[in-house]
Amino acid sequence: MWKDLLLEHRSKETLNALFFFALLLLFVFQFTLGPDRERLAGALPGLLWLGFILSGLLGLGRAFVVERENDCWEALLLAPGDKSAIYVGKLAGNLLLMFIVEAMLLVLFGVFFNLDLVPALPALVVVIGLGTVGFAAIGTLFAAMTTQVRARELLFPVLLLPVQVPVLLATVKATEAVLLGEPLGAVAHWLKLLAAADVVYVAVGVLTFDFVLEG
Amino acid sequence: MRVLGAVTVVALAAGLVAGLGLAPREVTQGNVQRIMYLHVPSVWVAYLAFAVVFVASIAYLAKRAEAADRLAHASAEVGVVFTGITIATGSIWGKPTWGTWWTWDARLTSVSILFVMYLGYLLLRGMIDDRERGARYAAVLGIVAAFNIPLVHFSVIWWRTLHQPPSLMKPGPAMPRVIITALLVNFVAFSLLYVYFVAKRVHLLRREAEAAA
Amino acid sequence: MPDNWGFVLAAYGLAAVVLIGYWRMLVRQESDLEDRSRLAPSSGHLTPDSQATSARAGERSHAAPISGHPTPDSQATSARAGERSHAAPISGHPRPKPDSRHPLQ
Repeated sequence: MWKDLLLEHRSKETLNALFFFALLLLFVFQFTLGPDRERLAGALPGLLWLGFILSGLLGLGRAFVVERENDCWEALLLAPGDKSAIYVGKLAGNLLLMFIVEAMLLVLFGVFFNLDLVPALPALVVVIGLGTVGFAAIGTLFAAMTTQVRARELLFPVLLLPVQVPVLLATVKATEAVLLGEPLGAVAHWLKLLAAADVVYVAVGVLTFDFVLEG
Repeated sequence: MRVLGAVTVVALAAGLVAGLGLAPREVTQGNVQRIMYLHVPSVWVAYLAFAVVFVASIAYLAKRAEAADRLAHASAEVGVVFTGITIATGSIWGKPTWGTWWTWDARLTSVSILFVMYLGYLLLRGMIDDRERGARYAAVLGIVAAFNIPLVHFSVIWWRTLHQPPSLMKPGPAMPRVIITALLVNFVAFSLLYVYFVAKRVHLLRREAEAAA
Repeated sequence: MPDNWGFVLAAYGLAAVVLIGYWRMLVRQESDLEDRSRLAPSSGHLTPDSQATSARAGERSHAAPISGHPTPDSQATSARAGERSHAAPISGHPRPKPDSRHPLQ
């Protein structure tokens, strides 16, 4: 796992590119939804998560590309020990990446759309944390699966997005509530769903990663 | 095989009779409600199919039996067919009853997500040339998708009911016996059809594998 | 409420078309396999139990798109129907390409 973190550190390019992408997304949101402040304000939680997901798709989609391009793939396959450890390591690395991007996006959102996020921050962190784990858990698994496939850039989002629908629904709803100032208790059922989803996804990831990395 | 086919046809015919003839005309919706005899058994069979995919996927990963892989593949394919029918019939049912071809109500939405998930499963299979890897990856996806089904179900229901009162098209709690019978007959018929399709598809897959070997 | 038999017919018709279409596709693939293995001298697995011929003749009318009009014999080439018959042929076996494209005449 440390290897990955180091890699990410060194390859600031991914981070930079994602940051730039996030920025551009913001512009696109502004342009497409127009100057209508009301509509924009209402759609904000959704837009925020759209931003997270789109960036995540880009970032995670490349999760294993480094290994593949540098022919480390075989090394990965032959590595002794539990392959699940690789999964956890990759997951942690991806999570870190996503959190950084999300933080950036959050700040950008606050700035551009003139939001006061501070009071909601702790609750937001919880929601975003839960949602991102769910996203990254399956994302890492699917990224590994699609690296070796034809048309991987297409297949990865196509596979990931439908599976992510519950997470998406839950996080947007929860974020909406949080941004409106409601306490987390009001969306407890969504949070529980997220937590359950996270547990299931990570467990499945850990259990099945071995099979993905074989041969 | 022939016997199965014949039995299936008979069952389907019975289902048609039951649904279109024997079952009574529904009070509020009129005869359009008869589409339910197509729509509901379809979705049941779809869920059955995907449950089989789940079990077969696990079996494949555990035993590496090619037969399990073929079963998963076939069941997913047939499941997608029935899911498609569910969506289509649901939409056609919705037009006269709700006034619109599509609505993001809980059931249609979650079935659509189901459709897309398993369509992705078939896509994945199609895009991997290496047979063994394809089987493995598909099995993993089959497992993930199956676990996702309840998650999708709940999230979509909560998503809808918090916005508007649920407009699920469930028949009322006290369903007359005839309706239940008709539903069951159709369900049995569709299940037989499912078995027939899967058996044929598995057979085909096996032949293809042998031909390629 | 009016009876809307048209819709009922549409739904049943659609389901019938889809299911029969899928069935014919299966039968056709089976007969194709039979033909191919009959032509290839090395194969020894022939169990001639399929009904080969009828699937070849006759054209296939496909299911209408999901949001299409409720006429049972509406035209073919919906993405879905094409996709579905795509799914089978491209699932990892060495079938020659033309076959998997034919629904989209």
